[in-house]
Amino acid sequence: MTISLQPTRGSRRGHQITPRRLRRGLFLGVMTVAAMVWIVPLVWMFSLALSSNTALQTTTTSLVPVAFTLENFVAVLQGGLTPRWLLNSVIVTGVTTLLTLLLSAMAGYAFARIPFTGKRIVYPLVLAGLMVPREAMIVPLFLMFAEADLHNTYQALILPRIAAPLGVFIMTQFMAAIPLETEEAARVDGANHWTIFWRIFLPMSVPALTALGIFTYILTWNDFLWPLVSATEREMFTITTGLASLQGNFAQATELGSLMARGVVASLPLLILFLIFQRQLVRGISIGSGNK
Amino acid sequence: MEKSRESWKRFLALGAAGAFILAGCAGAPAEEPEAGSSDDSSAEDTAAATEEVTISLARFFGDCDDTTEGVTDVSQATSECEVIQILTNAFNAEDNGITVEKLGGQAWGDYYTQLSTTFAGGDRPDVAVMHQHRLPDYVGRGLLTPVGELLAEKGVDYADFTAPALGAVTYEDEYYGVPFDIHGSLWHVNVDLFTEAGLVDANGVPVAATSAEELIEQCQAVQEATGKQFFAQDWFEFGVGARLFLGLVWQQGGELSDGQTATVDTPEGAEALRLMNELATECSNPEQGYTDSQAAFLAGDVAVLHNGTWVVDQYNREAPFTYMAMDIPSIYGGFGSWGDSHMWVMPLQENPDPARQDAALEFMAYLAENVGNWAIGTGHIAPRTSVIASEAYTSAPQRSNYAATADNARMVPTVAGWAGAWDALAEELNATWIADKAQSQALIDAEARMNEALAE
Amino acid sequence: MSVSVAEERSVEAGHSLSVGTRNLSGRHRSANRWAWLFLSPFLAVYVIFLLYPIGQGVFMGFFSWDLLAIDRREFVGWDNYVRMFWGENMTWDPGHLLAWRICGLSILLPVVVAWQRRRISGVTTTWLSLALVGIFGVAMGFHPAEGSRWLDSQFWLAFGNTIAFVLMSTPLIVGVGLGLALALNRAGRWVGLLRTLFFAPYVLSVAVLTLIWAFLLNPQLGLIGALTTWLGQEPISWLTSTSLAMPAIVVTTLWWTVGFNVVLFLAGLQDIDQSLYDAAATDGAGSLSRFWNITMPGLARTTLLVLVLQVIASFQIFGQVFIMTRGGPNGATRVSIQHIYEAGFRDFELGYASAMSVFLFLVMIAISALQFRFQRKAES
Repeated sequence: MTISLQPTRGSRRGHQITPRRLRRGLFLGVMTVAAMVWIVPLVWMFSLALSSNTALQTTTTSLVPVAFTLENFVAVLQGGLTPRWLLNSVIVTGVTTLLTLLLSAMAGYAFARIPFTGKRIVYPLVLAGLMVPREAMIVPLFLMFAEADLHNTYQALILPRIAAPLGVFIMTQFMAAIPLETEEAARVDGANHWTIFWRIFLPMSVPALTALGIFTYILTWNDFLWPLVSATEREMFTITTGLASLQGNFAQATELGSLMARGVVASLPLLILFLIFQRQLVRGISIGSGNK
Repeated sequence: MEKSRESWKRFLALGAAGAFILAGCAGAPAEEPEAGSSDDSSAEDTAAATEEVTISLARFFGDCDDTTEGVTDVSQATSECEVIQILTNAFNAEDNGITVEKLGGQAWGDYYTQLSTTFAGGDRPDVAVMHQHRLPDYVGRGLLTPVGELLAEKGVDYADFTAPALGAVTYEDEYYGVPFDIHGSLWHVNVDLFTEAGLVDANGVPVAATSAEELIEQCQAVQEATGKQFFAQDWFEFGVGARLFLGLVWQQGGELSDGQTATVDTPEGAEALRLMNELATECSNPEQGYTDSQAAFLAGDVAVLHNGTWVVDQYNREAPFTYMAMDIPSIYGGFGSWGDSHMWVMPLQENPDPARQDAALEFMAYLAENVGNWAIGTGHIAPRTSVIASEAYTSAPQRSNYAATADNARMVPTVAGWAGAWDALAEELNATWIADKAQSQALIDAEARMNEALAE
Repeated sequence: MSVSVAEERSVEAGHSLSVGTRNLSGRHRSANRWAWLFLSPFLAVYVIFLLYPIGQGVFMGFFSWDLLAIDRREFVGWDNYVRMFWGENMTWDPGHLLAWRICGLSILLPVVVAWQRRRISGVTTTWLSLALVGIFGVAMGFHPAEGSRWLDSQFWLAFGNTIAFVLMSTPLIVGVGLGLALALNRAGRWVGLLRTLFFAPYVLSVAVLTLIWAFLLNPQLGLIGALTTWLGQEPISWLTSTSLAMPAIVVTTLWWTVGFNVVLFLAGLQDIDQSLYDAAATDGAGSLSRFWNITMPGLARTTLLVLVLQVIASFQIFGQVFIMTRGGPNGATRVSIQHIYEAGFRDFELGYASAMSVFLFLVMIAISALQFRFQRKAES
């Protein structure tokens, strides 16, 4: 078997490293390294979650669980309020996501497809909302809900989050990319904006909607500071604040396994969600050309 | 047109659906038990003792309801969380007509953010835990109730508290809380390593250094004899270095602040910083944070760990060597050891409810009675002289070894804005041993930044 | 911003776009009605829950507004802003921070070149040049005299760190995101799993993320340190090194958030007409040529989206830094949002925190506006 590093033309004998093979090899190599970099911390997280807290006080550099135990997971899942916290998260996040998708899609359609007076002012105004540091807004928001006596409710956790400039931005950009012919064909048939939006643009925007839906779900699920200050009663905790409340002082030093187990439990639903919906992101079918 | 009317209808339908969802959600939490039963208390004028009052408790220490469900025997507790939770359970189990409901707590990092926001415009808890160094910020803004006289009426004997403990809850000559503990810096010692280096006295107790030179000599002796690291502490994560610095300055008779301005750039400060840097380079590893230093100590690789009182019981249980918790040695002649205090305070309510206030005071008095259980269960120092002298306390592991700290621990100055000043100090000090910042410059910058923080 | 695809074509079709309502055709008035119909749900929530708090924040910036004490709130006008920007005994030096200023001024070169090539107009060039000279030539020369201090010693430090983070992280996270999206934009079982793998970190909360990486990076307790020791080298203490802490955080953020960009790019790749690729393939175009001539232009809109969002996200970074290094060592990783948070919640100075937020906000708007402007010119 001869291995020649020169690209040979016409030779079909043996294994030759052609530029193509080289590129492919390089590509595989890079992807393998990248996959390793991405997966090792996750594996480690699982390993720590399955290790006993006491053992972890002395050894943490093991990809394999040290003193394997399920007690960390059991403690989280058996926790009296964990199911309630999960339910709160699911409700709050679910409703927020649905409403965000709806409102953003409608607003995106308006900005992308309807010529109207004042668009040049309103659109930048909406986008500017992206740039406001959330931490800076906590107190005014808090005072607003306090006056309405709405703390420790689902509304308080949902309402501030559905005003998502991110959603409008994403939907606008994607809807603007859909060719005009699609819309004009429908107009010829006498459809009005709502029908066009509902029957044509929404279905065509599924990848964008999926992306936005996934982001909104994750961002809302992991939101910490606002639920921290607004939902102070234990029954109203989300899974994120709830699991954080289990932490004692210096938790990293004394209960590392438990911390990781809680992290896994809180993140797993999101990962499953992504697994289910990622196909909508990559359909492999062209929609830009107007195929329905 | 037909179609537009149809689409209007769809619009309305969607809008209505959205509104229903939200309204439906409003239903769910309203069924939850309210944190205050003001209806109950307003309905009665007569025997308050027979009415059920629910008060809210805000605290950190974590959440361990699962392991403490139904438990009222405090001797079964194995952590800070469990002690306080079992004490709360026991109180609730008593037939006193009061139910204490714990508000969702957070680790102390987030606790004050949460607490501050409830003060800003929400339901203030009836009883809350607080660190001494945070007290001025809240008292100074008129947010806490002076409880000295009120608690005395409930039978709390303030004279029984130690001087540091009383100092912690005092602000402008009024008591604003009931002390729960003193916690402070300790020298956690691996006695075996000291023995190997020949630095123990006739009773096997490690020799305490009495000068900076002696400390370094000890360091060299131990490191040569055992090959292990002499000293460890968290050099950058939680401001532990600044606590030692503070202690060393106090030992020399210096002060960090007179309450108005900071005085860091002083001969005492310079000497303390010099010694600490010498420790860092010769005797320790300044790249170790809280977790690493503790891990190294528990693995037997460190002779002295500078940490606090809260780990005494834990180390006593887990250290695979002969372990002793000792006072910070009096290196410069005086006694100087950083201390802080957990205390229970009563926020000032915007609409005070006498029944809830009374119930809150009852609970606080109960906690004042149980400081011994807290101290024994956690390693923190009890704030009452009667407890310190008691059999139960002195026979608890290691307590007698650091008894002096109980009397002599000093709190940081009771001055508003201290949190920012302290962070600045810690950062500047850390810079000398992990970022090679010039010590003289660090002292100047620390003082300037502290003054910046204290001025506002 | 190029939202006006429909707009531009309607102009071609002869609709008038004048702002006054007098000249509007019936169809245009109807379009307005429709637009507001579609927009009103969003705008309602937006005005109440975003604009109003922002407005309050801006308002508070002119006050010394204590978080808790109602009686400690007084109007101070521009004092907060002076405190942010200014110092004692300010002087001006041509040589102060010379290296950075020369770097900044050197941006004038590509600006002038772009103008020569007619990529940007004379007006834009003038404004950009004025801004560059104003910032790097003039403004950065100010500093407190020897022995004096800035009024807020941490403000410019934090801002500088924030800019550094933006510059370091944006090209990296966008570039890697694009690369991964291109690699993963195909059907296949393995590819599906890989997609999930690269996206998985994004579902973690910041608390878990920082826990994992703080431990990973720990020289004694972490895997990276263990690997280094195994290779016979001294492990590096990343988070206690003034020069390596920020890069470490950039890598952490990359691992965490690149999935976001990958997802957006994947969605964008779907919109590119497959037949264009087929045509190019039959023409014999190589993959690189296909990339530059079909993929990149097709992704233009998505790239703008990703870039703008990435810059904004990088400006607002807070969680990871706060938890992993708390701004250390020696303030090397303190970012603006941390400074704002500490001013508001630790020091109770809500007014000052609000003023700093306003400044950060304006900077982000300026940069985003530039990005949009650039994209608009590039498209036409």
